[in-house]
Amino acid sequence: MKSKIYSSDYMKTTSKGQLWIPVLLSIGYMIAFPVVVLLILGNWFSSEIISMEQIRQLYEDLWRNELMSTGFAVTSVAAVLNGINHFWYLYSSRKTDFYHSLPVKRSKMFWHRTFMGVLYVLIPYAVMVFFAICIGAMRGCFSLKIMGLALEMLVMHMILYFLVYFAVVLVVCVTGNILMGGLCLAAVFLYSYTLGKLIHYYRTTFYDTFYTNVSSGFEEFLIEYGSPVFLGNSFLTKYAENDFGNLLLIVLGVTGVLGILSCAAYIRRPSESAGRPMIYGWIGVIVKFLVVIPCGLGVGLIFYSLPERSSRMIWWVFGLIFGTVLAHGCVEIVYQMDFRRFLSKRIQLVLAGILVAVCAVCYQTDLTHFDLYLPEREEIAALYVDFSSMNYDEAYYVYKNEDGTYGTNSSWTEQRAAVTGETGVNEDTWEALETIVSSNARRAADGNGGFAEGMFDEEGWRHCLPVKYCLKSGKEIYRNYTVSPSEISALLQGLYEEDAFMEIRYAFLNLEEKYLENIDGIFLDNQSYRLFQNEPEKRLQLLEALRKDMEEVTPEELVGEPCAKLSFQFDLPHKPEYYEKAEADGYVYYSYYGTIPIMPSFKNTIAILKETGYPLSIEDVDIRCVKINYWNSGSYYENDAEYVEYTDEKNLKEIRKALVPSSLWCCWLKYAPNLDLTFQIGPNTMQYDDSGYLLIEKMPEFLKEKESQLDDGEDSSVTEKSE
Amino acid sequence: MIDIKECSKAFDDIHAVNHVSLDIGEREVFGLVGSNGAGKSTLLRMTAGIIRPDEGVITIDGTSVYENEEAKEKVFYISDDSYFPPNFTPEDMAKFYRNYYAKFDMQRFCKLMDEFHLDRKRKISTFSKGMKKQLLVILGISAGTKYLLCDETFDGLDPVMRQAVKSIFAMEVMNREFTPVIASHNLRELEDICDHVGLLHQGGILLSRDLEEMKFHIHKVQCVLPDRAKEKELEKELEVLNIQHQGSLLMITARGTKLEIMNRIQSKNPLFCEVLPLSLEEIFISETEVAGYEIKNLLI
Repeated sequence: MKSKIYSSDYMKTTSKGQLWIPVLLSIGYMIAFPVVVLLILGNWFSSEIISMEQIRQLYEDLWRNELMSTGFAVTSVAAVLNGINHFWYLYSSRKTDFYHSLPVKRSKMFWHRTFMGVLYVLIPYAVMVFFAICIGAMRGCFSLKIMGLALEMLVMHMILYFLVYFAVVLVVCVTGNILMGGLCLAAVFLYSYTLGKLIHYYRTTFYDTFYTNVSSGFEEFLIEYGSPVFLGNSFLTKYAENDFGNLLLIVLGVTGVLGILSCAAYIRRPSESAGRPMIYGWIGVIVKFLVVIPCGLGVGLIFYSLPERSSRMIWWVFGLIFGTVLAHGCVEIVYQMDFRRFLSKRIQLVLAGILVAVCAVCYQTDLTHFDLYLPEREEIAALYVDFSSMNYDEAYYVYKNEDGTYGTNSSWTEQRAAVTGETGVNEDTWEALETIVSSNARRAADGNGGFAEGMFDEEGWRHCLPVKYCLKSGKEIYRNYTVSPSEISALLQGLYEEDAFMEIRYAFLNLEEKYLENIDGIFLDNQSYRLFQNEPEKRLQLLEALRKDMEEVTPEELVGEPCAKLSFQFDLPHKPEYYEKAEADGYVYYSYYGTIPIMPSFKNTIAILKETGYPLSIEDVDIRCVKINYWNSGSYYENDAEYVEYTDEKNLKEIRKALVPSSLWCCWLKYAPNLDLTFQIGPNTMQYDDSGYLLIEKMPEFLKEKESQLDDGEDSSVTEKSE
Repeated sequence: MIDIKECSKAFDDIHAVNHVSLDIGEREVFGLVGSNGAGKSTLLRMTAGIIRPDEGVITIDGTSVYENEEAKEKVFYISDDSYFPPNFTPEDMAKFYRNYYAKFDMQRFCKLMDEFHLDRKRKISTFSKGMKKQLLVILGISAGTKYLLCDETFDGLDPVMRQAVKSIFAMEVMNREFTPVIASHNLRELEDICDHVGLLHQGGILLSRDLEEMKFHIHKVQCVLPDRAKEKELEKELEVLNIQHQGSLLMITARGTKLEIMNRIQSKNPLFCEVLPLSLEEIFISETEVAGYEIKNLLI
């Protein structure tokens, strides 16, 4: 006889005592669907600026975004509850005997339980989605498309349900008691994220060129796709972007594999193993190594970060050993339920210790040559550079849409923000990058690597330069270099020869003139002025002159000393969001600012700027006093400094040649690093002085001497602030 | 027929069942006796298809039982440590089982429930241990399976209920193809019901005999012989399993028919001679002592 386990009579009988699950899920889905729809629709209808047409559009998006997320949250809980509830009996010997004595094959029992779980989810899900649709329809938002979206959402949620469900069932089937099951369940959901973060912190600590803001490669995989819930979440993100085809296949594949594994683990699970921590010994060994190695490395890293730099290595080694032994002992105690087993299985402990040591050495000595990595020039499809970290005023790049509206990139890593063209990087850019990579490696070898290790190097200021290499293979690689002014200057000169860089960097020069609202100028007196406020024609002339100068300028000139800085304000039309009130023409306007340093070679621009009368030469600035605070190099954080005021005209004349007001600071110029400078313009009527920098190559001899005296310690006895 | 061939099962380092071979015939009440930890429950769980033997095969009517629906449908297993799903009533249990066992007789179930004065609609969680055992027996009988495996089922039943269950078993054996296999550590419990007894000790089967056959071939006699020399002669002539002296009174347990043994004793001109009734326990003690086992320590 075939058992009648799919009969309604049987299902009714076995559902007894299980009804709390569908009831609980009904409450969850009620909040996830009808309540969310009610709330959001209510907000939209109470807003006066949203039209009915917009609401309908937004309502469709709601089914694609918010309801997918809320539904996934409840579905994940449902999967966990069902997985545990239907296979929990495996932890009890008498329950196992009861169910496994029944004349039904294990495989059939497995799928029957899975089927029952689906029923518990599907019924409340369908009812609550129906209510949500009805609520939308009552508010005038109903279409066949919504029905289609609801059906699509159901399919996606069921796929994600099985993803989480089979992961839970697999854990229950390979563990034998509640403690181990709970720990392994937590590990299934959090392990990959924790491991990803551990790798991240190790890279941050030991790799000088690691870019911390973006997770990439294996680390990204662990954090975004390493656990069923995070994979589901990544899938939802892609689904909302309507770019989920590949990920759907991956999710289906993973779900299938988990389904097969969990079914096999259930069928092959010995009934007598209830109560044992791990059912399959070899899984126990793998799990142990997966726990012990990261724990050893993690504890090591904690001990590494606590002490001063000089004793870090010793504490790190202590932490690695301590963490490994502790984790091994804890795992053995849990496995064998006996505190005396702390140091049992010593061969495994030694093996784990060796693996921890290998991992630690890999990071400490950079065995993978992470910091030395530079893709072959031919491999690079596109290069992305973040200049914003150098105060380069170009965090956002403006672009024009097909409908005539404008947009700005939110990140330098976006595809359209590539600074190189389709042909990859040119020779000069490549050589500049090569120099940067080798300099970083040299500094790292000298113990002076990494941005965190210090702001200065032998050349003066050093800057942080995040770079993304997009390879022709599709791989994206991030690095964060520390670069000296001369290195950034070389790189910029290379980039100026690239097609895309100028388009990106000075995109505002190609914007339509009708959107130009204001031009602000910063001059050598360190002040900002609004230029030609009531002369729009003049503003356009200035823009046109700048365009002309930019066509003629050479890369070398662009990394010179600026005599001014111009900021162009464009009010650009954007497509309104639902919460934005559009202008009469149907657009909302956002201000966009494009900034450019003005070089002395910009003849056309300077000719117009001269009409303003603002100083374009430092000689035109009436500097009456310069105050310099000398810091003893190498003692930046200590207060052994000497303060000197220069008012003598002869000295001022010399200083003026090297002085750059802080507002005209450029990352490619070398400034004296060990002094703070302020200057006073005209009679002393201002409460605050202006700050500035001194160019090293133009620094007067008497200042250099003063600086070297301090470095030699001759004036170490001078007071901190002497008049 | 249940055929157990060279079955072994170990739990880590403990050999619960060690190369056991046993045949359980049809329509007989089979008693599986052994002390705690002898391997009775493990053997029954393997026979019920719950656990897989490490070695050997268990077949039920010629088909292997593990993961075999057809074979398992012929077996109903009553565990010593019974489990009932939460909130279930006896009626729910009956409904539950009827979806697995095609021959489940609902009418029979109701009738037996009434006979045992058990409430069909009361939650099982409120039942006493004995009531749960009764319910399991009723469910097992009602399932209509050919084999009923009872693990310490009589433990917890009062004497009246014990007799009632025995009667039902006897009736079932008479009326249909039914073979109860009763595992117990108490030999006396099985004495008046079993047709065949298997004795398990430390995972191995010590002996498996038909009870009537054993009783026919082993006898206990007390006698007084005229002198010591005749006692020694008699000892050599009989297949003595046990011999004890109480003064001049000689108590002999020997293998052989009653007639054979009495003829031998009479030939020695005894002053007194009498055949004594032999309990199942004594038979086992006698049999196993020969094999070198201190069976007295193993049985209650």
